[in-house]
Amino acid sequence: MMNVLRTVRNDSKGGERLKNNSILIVLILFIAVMQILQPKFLTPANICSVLFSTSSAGIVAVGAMFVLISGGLDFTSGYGTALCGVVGGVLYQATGNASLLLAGCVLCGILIGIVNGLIITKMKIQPFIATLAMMLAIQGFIYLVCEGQIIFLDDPVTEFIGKATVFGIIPVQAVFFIAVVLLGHFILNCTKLGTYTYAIGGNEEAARCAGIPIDRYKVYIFVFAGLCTGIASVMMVTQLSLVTPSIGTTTLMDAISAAVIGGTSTAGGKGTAFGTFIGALIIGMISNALVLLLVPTNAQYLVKGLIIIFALYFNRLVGARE
Amino acid sequence: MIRFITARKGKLLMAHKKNNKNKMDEKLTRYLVLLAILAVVCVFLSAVTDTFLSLQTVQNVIRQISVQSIVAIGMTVLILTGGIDLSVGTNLMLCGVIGAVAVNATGSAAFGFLACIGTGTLIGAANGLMVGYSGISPFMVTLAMQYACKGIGWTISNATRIMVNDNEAFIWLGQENIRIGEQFALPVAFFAILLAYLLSSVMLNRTIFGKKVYAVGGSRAASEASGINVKLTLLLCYAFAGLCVGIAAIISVGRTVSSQPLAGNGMEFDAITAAVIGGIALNGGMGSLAGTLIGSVMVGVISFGLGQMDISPYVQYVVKGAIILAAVAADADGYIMQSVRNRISVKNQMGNTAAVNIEEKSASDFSRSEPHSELKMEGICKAFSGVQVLKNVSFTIKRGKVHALAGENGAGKSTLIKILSGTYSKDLGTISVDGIPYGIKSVRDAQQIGISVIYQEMSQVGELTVAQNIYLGKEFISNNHITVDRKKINEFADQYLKKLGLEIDVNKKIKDLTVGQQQMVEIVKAYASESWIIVMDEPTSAITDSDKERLFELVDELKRQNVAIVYITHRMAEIFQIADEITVLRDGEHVKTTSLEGVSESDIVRWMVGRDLGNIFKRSKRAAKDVILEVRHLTRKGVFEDVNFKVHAGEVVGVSGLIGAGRTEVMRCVFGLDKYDSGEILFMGKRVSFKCPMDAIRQGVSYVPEDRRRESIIPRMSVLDNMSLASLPWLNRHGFVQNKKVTDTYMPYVGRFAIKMSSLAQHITFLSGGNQQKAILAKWLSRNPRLIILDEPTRGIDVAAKADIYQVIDDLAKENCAVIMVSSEMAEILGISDTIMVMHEGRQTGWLENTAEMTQEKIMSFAAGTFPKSASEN
Repeated sequence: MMNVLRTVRNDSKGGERLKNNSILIVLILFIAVMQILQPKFLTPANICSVLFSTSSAGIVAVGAMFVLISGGLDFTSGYGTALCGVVGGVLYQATGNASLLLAGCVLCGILIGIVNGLIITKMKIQPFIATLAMMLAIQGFIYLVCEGQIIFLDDPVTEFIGKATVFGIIPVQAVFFIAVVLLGHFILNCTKLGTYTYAIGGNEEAARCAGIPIDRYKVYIFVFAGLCTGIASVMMVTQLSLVTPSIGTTTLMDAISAAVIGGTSTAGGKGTAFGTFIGALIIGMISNALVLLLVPTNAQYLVKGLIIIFALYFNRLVGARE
Repeated sequence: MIRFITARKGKLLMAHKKNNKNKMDEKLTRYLVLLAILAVVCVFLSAVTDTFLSLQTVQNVIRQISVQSIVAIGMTVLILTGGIDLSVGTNLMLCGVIGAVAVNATGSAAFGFLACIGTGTLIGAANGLMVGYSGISPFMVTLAMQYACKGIGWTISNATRIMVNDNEAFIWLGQENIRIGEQFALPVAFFAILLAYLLSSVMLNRTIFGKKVYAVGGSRAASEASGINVKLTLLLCYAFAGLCVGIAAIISVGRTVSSQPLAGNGMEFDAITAAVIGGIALNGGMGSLAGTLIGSVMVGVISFGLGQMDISPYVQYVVKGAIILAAVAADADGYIMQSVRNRISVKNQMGNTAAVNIEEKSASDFSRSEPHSELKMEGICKAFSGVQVLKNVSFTIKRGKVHALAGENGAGKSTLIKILSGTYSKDLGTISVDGIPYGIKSVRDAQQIGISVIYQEMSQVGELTVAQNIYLGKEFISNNHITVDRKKINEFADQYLKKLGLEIDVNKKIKDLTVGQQQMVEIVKAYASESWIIVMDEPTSAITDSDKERLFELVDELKRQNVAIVYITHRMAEIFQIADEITVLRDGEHVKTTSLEGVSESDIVRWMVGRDLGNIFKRSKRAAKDVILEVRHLTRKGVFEDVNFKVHAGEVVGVSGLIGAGRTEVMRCVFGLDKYDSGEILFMGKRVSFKCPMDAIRQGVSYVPEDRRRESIIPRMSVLDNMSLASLPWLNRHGFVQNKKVTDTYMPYVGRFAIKMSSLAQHITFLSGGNQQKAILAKWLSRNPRLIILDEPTRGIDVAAKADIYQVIDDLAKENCAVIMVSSEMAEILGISDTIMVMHEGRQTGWLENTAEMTQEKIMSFAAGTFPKSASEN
């Protein structure tokens, strides 16, 4: 069977290129269809608004991609953003200092990553279960920290991150998003951590034989995912100008969908930051398009589900079997 | 003799039962531990709250867990198949909405029930269809379905609750009690849960469908090759999970007399939690429903109890999370228990043997610059959980020599090498370099000393480039201290490749190389790490003959560069071709170390097996009879083309060729595992076209796949279950497995093939390769095949087991079975076949019927495609 696949793949160079870029085709197809249905779709303003609204889910997706490539799964990133948000929010409320808000969000994310990593490596529990348990615990902590209150943010710094634009049109949020994508790309391709992420997910035994300290790098990977969660929470709370315990409920699923649609393998070993970026754009554009097309809110979920299935199936048809 | 066999059979049967009991005991322990925790929680809760231990509470707890525990049944079945369903929560909501609408529209509760169940099953089936037939991962399919269900449900209900009119039946199911005696009453839901669990347990444990569920979860490829319709099985499993959701939805609607837009919110995680606490393995194939039920009750009781106490409800989440971790960590098969057990067994040994403590130098003190000449392993002992694997083994490796390490499977070769490479730690003994003992405690230590091991299973990362793989774990860091210096890595890797005369692009990804090239890269990797000891574990088992020659040149080159090579192989010819010395191990003991001069092949076999095997190729050849299989112009585009051959009753056709020549692919098409584009297959004179393996099996074709671990065995199923897997349609009555018939069918094979195992209930993965293969042969012979296709039947199997398998092949031919044997081992092809077919790059290049024509040279030239004209008969 492998041989067959190999022969088929070696058959055409063009096929190879098609396979690697199938996600791009989905994106172009989607944009084309939308452009016909709604000419307002492909305008700079609208594209920026897509970037604005997907920035937080997209940033989480970059972290989720790292975990997926390493062969794991992280359920904590959704409620994690809410916990980071309320931790930062409570700090802000107590001190009125916006930099403490940012530090609180980011550090809380990193802490979640460390705990995840340690549970997985020290207790030898699969990421699926470990992060599922952590997800439940985080849900509890969210309310313990903020006791259900809503904290309003009113600070030039948060206003800048949340609402400002550069060059008059590009939202600061989008700049953050793209920066995180580039950071992810840099780590994956230019550092040891990146190489080892592929190695651990692609062939953990090989990584072990090569003398890579796997446990330590797994913790690093989850810490990076946690960092992304923290940054994403900053994006969310500054966007809303308030901290509420109910943010981030759809983030987890959006982020994982974005990463997987972008070609990240749920079985590990495969994925690129660029693909995840495109995946996040698609997820963002779906919501944006449904609003533009005046699809009723409730029906949007249905359409979104169908488009995700279509995108994955198309990837599957054009690309290789996972 | 007969008495002996019966005695043995009796013993095995007893062992079978005993082992079954052991397995049960282990499971039981787990459940008892869970129940004990549950009891402690109950006692605690009744101490801190006044009302906990009352009938009222019991009724409330049951109502609370009713919905979730029924959903968890379906989830358990899915997790057993290696899948998952994230859409159960929103599916439950959707079922409720549609059920409520149906009742209100028709005024009939029965319609409501049907609507709930129908919707659930339909959504489940849609999931199953996509998971089974599209190849998208279950996680993503059901995630998308989660959105879709929410969309449909909220569109219909406008995201509000819908009250159910004419609701008596719903209320009865959701809220009423059934009286038992004067004082006692239990909720109707209790009986619903009980019934659901009982029926589902029977389905999983007693029916062939249940066997299929475990098989698919254990190994999809092996299930497919056993004639199981994997896609259909998955479809049915997901539909079943949907059915459970539908039933749960009825109760859910009954509890609130309405459908709620947030019903089932987070239900998927609750169901997974219950299953995981109950011990269901997430990667499929292991666990049972009883565990899930206990898990459900536990979660329910704790939630309820915490709710009764005056504690923030959010603490519940934290507690739930902690319980999952605790339950998984306490898993009897889990890491903690195992490490404790290992520690105990090591301690026991230390106590038993008078341990001589030798001062070992740390590997970090090792100086690579000094010219070391030899490494000595002396008195190495190693035991795993009480079983002594190595007993006082000594082994010396010298620079510039190729030292062959031989022995049957299980002789301890791999363990010895893993101790050398730092993967395992030795219990006793010393490893010294030029007389100075060093402690090798990790892979890093071994690398420091200069030891590289090339393992049998390729230890490479497909998505990384050649250069990245060569320098994996040894990356150069740029001057900025952050980035990896990829330019330098590429340059150095390229240099090493060139030094060894290899033309491979360092920027290519490993997955795009041929298996042979991958093997070469692996050797370059060892060489580039400047190791002076390179261990090769069966390096030729998966590569073509031309690559093999290339590999041997490489070994010679390394020898010239004064590297010490340890060479492990099952192939005698290779030992004589390249080795200078040989060490033979048997049953963990050192048998012999000698120079190869004056040593014959039979000497080595005798040392390995401990007795003389004689000629292992015994074939009683006889005249050809009826044609059983005829293949005409078979073509699968891009894979093989115009393949023609005939196999007669009682004939063994050997199929030779290089790896990738398309031999396996032809056989897969004959067996119905893959589709072919054109040509025809005639079986017993009739034109056939097997659409799936089961078609072929029904007609009397058996197929033993090439890759035993991946396609033949279901590792975590018992030997008996593995054997019966291809015969399920013949071993059941109305879908229920006939256990006695199964045992009666397969017990004789155990004696006939001398399969070594503790019992038929042992997991097949714990058997040696040879015994696994014999069990797989039993699985296929029990079908009384007219044609059996054996694809590399002796790969990675030791000499004695090989001889047994050749005997089986000869017996089959005697019984007039037609045999096709695909093999890469020349000796085997020449020794066993009546007729030989040779393939090269998807074409049939040779067909040898005449014994005189069958020479190694001729087959080689056909296989390499260098023979001028195709000699195939048409």
